[in-house]
Amino acid sequence: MKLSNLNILEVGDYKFRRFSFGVALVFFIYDMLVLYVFADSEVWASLRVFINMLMSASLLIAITCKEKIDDERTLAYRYGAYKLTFISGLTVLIILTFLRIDKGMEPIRGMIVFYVFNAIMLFYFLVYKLSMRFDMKWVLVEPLYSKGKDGRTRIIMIGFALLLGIGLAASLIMKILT
Amino acid sequence: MKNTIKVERAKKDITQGDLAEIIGVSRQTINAIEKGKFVPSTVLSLKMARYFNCPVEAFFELEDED
Repeated sequence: MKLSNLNILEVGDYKFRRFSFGVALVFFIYDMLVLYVFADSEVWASLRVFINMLMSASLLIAITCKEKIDDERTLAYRYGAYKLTFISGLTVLIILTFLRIDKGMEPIRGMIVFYVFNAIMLFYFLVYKLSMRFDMKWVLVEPLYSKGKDGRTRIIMIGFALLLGIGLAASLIMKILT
Repeated sequence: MKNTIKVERAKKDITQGDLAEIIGVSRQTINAIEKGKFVPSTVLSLKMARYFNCPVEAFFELEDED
């Protein structure tokens, strides 16, 4: 994959980042207020889905903003963070689904979808920023950037995700059969 | 892969920030390249070679484990 193709992953200028995070924080505070202070008010509660949707949109804009100086290193780390988040997010979703089915709970839906989505976005941003800050080479996915034992991390993670997927499928089949 | 960009930079008497501005990247990227924490693309390497007026092999060298 050409690094120049990754420009499509950026949407906003770096100046929007703080503003978007600020907006997301305001919506988060509102959500917490409704959840713990105004829990009895139906009018407030009815707006929660809309507010969470806006919070997710704000977070999405914030995490996809460009850096002040965007170069091939930022793009490489960004792509690496995207890939790591995808694998980790998938793994967590599988675990959550498995645990909820195992405990007889409802599948992931409703407000939890927003929380999971927001958590995945924040995880991506954290991975991206920390890997940039501490030059974590193992986050980078290009073979050129990883050598020696670094490639094993990815293989272990993919293997782990596959095992969980197989486990979940087996669990579902067992439940259907019994 | 090891490099002697720091030496080449010293010869030209320029800072990491100056070099970063000349080749169009951030100072942090130059720092990461110098420390061997980031391997630059061919384009970036050639830009540096053009600025230092020497071939890429003059400041990039493969190590045994590469």
